[in-house]
Amino acid sequence: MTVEVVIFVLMGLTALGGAITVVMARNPVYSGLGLLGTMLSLAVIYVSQLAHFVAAIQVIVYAGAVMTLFLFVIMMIGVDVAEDTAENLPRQRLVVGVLAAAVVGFAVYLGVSQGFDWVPAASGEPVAEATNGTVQAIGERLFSTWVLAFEATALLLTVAAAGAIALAYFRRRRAVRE
Amino acid sequence: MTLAQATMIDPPVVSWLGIAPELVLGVGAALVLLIEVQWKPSRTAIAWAGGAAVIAAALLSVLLHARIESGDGISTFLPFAGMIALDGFGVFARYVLLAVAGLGLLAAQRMVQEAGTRAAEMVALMLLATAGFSLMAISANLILTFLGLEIGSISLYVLAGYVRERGNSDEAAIKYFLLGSFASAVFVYGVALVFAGTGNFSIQGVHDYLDGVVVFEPGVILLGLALLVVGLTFKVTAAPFHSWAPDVYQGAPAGVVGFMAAIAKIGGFAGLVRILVSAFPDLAGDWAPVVAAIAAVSMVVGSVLAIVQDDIRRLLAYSGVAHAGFILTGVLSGGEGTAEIWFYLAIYAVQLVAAFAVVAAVSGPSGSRSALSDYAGLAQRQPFLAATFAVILLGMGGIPLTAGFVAKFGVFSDAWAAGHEWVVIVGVLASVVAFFLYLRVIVTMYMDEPAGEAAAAPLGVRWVTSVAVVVTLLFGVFPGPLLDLAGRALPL
Amino acid sequence: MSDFLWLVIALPLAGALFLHFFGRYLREPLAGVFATLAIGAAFVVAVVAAVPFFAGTGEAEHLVIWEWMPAVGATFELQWDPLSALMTLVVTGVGTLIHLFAIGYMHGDERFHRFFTYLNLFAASMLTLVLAGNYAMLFIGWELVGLCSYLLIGFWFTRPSAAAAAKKAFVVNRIGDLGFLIGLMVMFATFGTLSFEGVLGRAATELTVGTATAIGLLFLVGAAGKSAQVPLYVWLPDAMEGPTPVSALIHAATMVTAGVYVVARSSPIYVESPIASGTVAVIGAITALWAASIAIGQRDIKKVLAYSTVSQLGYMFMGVGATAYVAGVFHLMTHAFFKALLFLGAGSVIHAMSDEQDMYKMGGLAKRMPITATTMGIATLAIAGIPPLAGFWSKDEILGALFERGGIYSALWVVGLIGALMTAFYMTRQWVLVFAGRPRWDEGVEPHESPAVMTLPLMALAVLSVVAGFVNTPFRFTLEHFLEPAFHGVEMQHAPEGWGMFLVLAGLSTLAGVAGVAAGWLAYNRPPEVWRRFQEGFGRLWTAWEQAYRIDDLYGAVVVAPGRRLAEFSAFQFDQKVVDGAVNGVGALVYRLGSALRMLQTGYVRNYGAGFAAGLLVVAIWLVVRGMS
Repeated sequence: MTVEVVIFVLMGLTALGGAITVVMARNPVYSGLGLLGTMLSLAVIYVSQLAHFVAAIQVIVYAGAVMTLFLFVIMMIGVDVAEDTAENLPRQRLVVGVLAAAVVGFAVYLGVSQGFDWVPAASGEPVAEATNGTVQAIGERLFSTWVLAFEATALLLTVAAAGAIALAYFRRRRAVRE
Repeated sequence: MTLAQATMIDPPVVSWLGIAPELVLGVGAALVLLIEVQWKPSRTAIAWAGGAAVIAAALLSVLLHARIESGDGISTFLPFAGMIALDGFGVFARYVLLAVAGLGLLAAQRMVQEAGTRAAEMVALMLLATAGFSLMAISANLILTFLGLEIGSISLYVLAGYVRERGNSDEAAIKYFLLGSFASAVFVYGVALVFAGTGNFSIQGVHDYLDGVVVFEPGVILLGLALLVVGLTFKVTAAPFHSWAPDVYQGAPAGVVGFMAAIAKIGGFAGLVRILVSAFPDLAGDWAPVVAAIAAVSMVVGSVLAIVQDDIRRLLAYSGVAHAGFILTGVLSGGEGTAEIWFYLAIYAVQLVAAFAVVAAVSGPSGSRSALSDYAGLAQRQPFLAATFAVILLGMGGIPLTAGFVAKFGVFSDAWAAGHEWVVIVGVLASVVAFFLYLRVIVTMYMDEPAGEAAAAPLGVRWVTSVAVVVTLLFGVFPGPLLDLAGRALPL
Repeated sequence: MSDFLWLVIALPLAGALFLHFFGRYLREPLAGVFATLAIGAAFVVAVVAAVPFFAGTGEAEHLVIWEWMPAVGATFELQWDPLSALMTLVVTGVGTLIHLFAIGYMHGDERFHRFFTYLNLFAASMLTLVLAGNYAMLFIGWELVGLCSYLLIGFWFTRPSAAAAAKKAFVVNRIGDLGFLIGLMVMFATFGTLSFEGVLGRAATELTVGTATAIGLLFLVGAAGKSAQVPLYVWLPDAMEGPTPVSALIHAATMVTAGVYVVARSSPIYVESPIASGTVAVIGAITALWAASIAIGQRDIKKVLAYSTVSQLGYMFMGVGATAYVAGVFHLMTHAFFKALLFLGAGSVIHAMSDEQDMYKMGGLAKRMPITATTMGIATLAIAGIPPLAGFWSKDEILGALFERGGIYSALWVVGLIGALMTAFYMTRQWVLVFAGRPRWDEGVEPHESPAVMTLPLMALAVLSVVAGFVNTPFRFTLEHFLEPAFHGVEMQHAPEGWGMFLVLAGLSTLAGVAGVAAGWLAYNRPPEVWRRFQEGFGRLWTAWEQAYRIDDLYGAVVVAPGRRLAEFSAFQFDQKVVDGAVNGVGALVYRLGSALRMLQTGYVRNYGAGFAAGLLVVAIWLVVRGMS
């Protein structure tokens, strides 16, 4: 058991716990905090992979900016603890339970059985080099091999902007309910 | 580190012409948005601007095609460090996508008019969706495939919810968005696992790896492949991942549903075929049974459920599920069936846009429910619309001498030759059932007493249905040229 | 060379197109006259093209009109050999007479021109079917005639029963077509082509018995659907909802014989498989007897003829099933004449009786309509198998071939004889009920002889019903020699030779015919009370016949209802209740609260998500387990 594995297990559990909190918490503020926990845990995992730059971005952009925005929205809408949580589909929990059990069971089976290799492509011990995660290294890759993909994200942002406008500016007075 | 110490970046091979169509679409979308802000032109002008972008992109595609065409085939180039593939596959995909975009814009004419101040966004989103799925089709790298998929899909989520005044448009958008995001997540996790298994993101790289190495325990690669297949079959509305489609097609504004449905199917199939045929041919023995099962389930579920629908949009949605199954049978034969898949997709996409254009004309461009009873006696109220719709439906049903027949025949004979006889038999059974459902609509239009008055069909819709009729009949009688062209649409 | 042969299809097609676009501007008889001329011209062309065959110098020709999908061998090509020539002559010849008749019959119908549009379209489709040079084109014709049949059965679609009958014919035929289609695929997979030359020429050498059986049986499914054989015959009696000329043309003389034609055309395949051939014969025998018994109990004049048609088609199937292809096709031809005559005569009667079809309300019509009575009498004797009329020779040749074949076929011969007896009985019953005895008309009905435009075709067909049998008698095998080139190299079954056997067999079947006619005459040429008592004497058997064994109810209960329920279940339970329920009920409620977000929490997206996840799980587990060593 290397230190890396210990960190991974710990942070993985924290991330999962945060994710469960997001879904389960009654109070949306708690949900937001759960999400924050997940994001920070991921940042730690990045650090353990020597991806310092990505980890920093993770903390600044997601844990910082995005989370702040989420919390603003939650505050503006108002925290309504007395939300109606009645179930409309009584069998849904059962179905999801069975599915979840199947997933977990299968994962355990894969772990126990000998026939499954998670990284068949890896040859020998993976070597993490400190220079892999630097700004320069990422920049070089981003503007050589990945330049087209990088530019394509511009379209994604345009879509987001145009879409947000389109969905927000509809004439409310004409609203009809069918 | 000072600036002087910085190393120069090794620039990849850039091919401006290679991405020119997408570039034009993206720039066109941006221009439409900017012009609208600055000069407030008429909505008709905005629509024309969008159309101009599509036409320009189409011309550039032809130019590109001419450049890489070499007599007996289309040669392949991999610019941008192998990020995209300029090949026959991409050439044909762009033709189909741009045709759908053009027809979609025509069909959405009335909706653009009614979108008020949001007309420019609508046109821009349609252009961007086209660009996204086009990127997906030419992508030779799983990351770019994912990006293209997302650009296209997110545009469609917004379009689905465009008429927010109406509750179920909102509902459709959110259903589409949630389930679509789920599917995208599945897809991207698949990309990650494939990377874990092969150490490659590029389609060529994955193929080379699998070709050169004997993987004793390919479990993780297959798991990744399973996720990729499921993620993409969701987009093409194959069962059992189709449940969103009827709701979304019913709730989304009629003016763009045809565009949405058609372009997502083309993009999804382009990605699926590229991945299965170009990246994983060595694992065909593993994925073929899965694809066969999905195809069979889709054909049966789609055809049977379509029959009992009383709403034409749900009917078309379920029939789309069946068509997804039919097209998937062509995938079964590995690379052999690519031409037939493209033929089918091209024909079906045009028919789909036209069919929903008719729906939009009958129930209003932003309406939602389109009960089958609205079509009673349409032949008397709108003879032209009814006649063209009837031809399109017959083409979808695949009766001989329509292109739909040639298409079905093509994919079925490929699957048969590849040894998947049972799927073909299921497919033929399903198409017989499905034929009845198209006939049911035609009978309703021609034999029932007219119910109510329908608004006159706008000119754009007439154009779209006319084009679809010409395509359906022309390529039904003379399929040769299109089959030849599709025969060059081979990946990598 | 018969390069102009395409005109045979093109003429009626042009007629249909012309009438479709301009028919509404033509005054009433003109549209009919035009259509009649179109098909009549096609008949003339066919006669000219067939002259070499009559002269004995003709050779089978293969005319490629147009290459459609060369890659898969789907070309438009015509086969011109004696078999297709004979079929073409029957279709155009009888078709012309029926067109002529329809001018009188459809008088006053407000969609007069539309009717003739469909009739011409049907003729073009049927000619495509019989002239096709490959199975792909044959199938196109096959589907087109089905479509025309659908349109014409439902011609009076304002009657709910007509619409229902059209739908039923459509659905039942789809079942048959499916078998045919799968058969075509097996054929294509085996031979790599669908052309007659490629398939039939190589069948003897390349076809294994197993494949031949598969193709033969699958084609039989298709043939049984189109030719109304057990168990797919149920649509034909209902199809009588169509106008009577349609019944005569499509549901007696031409389209329903397509199944027989396909089996005869595919003879090189059927001779390779005794099982497939035997099944064809047995199906035919069952149908012959089954439908004949039902025909006895019918009271609707057209229903009698419908079941009679089903029964006679059974005879043809027996013939081609026993590999006596000439005999089967011979009966097809004679049957086209006398059954068309019977239907047209029935149409004339219905016309005269102001649309009355119940035979119990007729009687005594012979005096009022002598021409119809005489011609129908001739047809009745012809179908009853009374020598020397046409039906005698053709039916006898089938029975003789069955007898000669021996073995299991001997049993079929007995069935055929019993069927002949029943045929003679119910046909005589019909004639007597309609034309003899005292009038039992409703009040206000004043029957009158039909106009010449209707009686002329009757007389022409009556002549044919008398003389057509002489083309192939045990003394002169004209038809046999005529058809010889079409069945080149196919080993065929014949009736036994020699005077002795002929006299014995012919004597037996004549005896059956005469006995049936006599029984029918004696039982029904009496006051109604007497024959009613006679019928009641049969007890529940009669009821069973009268109600056609209630097969429709059975099908309704066994096939249709569960199928519909299944579809409804899957649709309503899952789709309607869950999905639409969500949208309508909860959805509307939630929308009143005005929050899309809430919609999701209560909404059914999670349902879809669960389904998605389940599918994903199955795919993933299956693939991963495969990948484990």
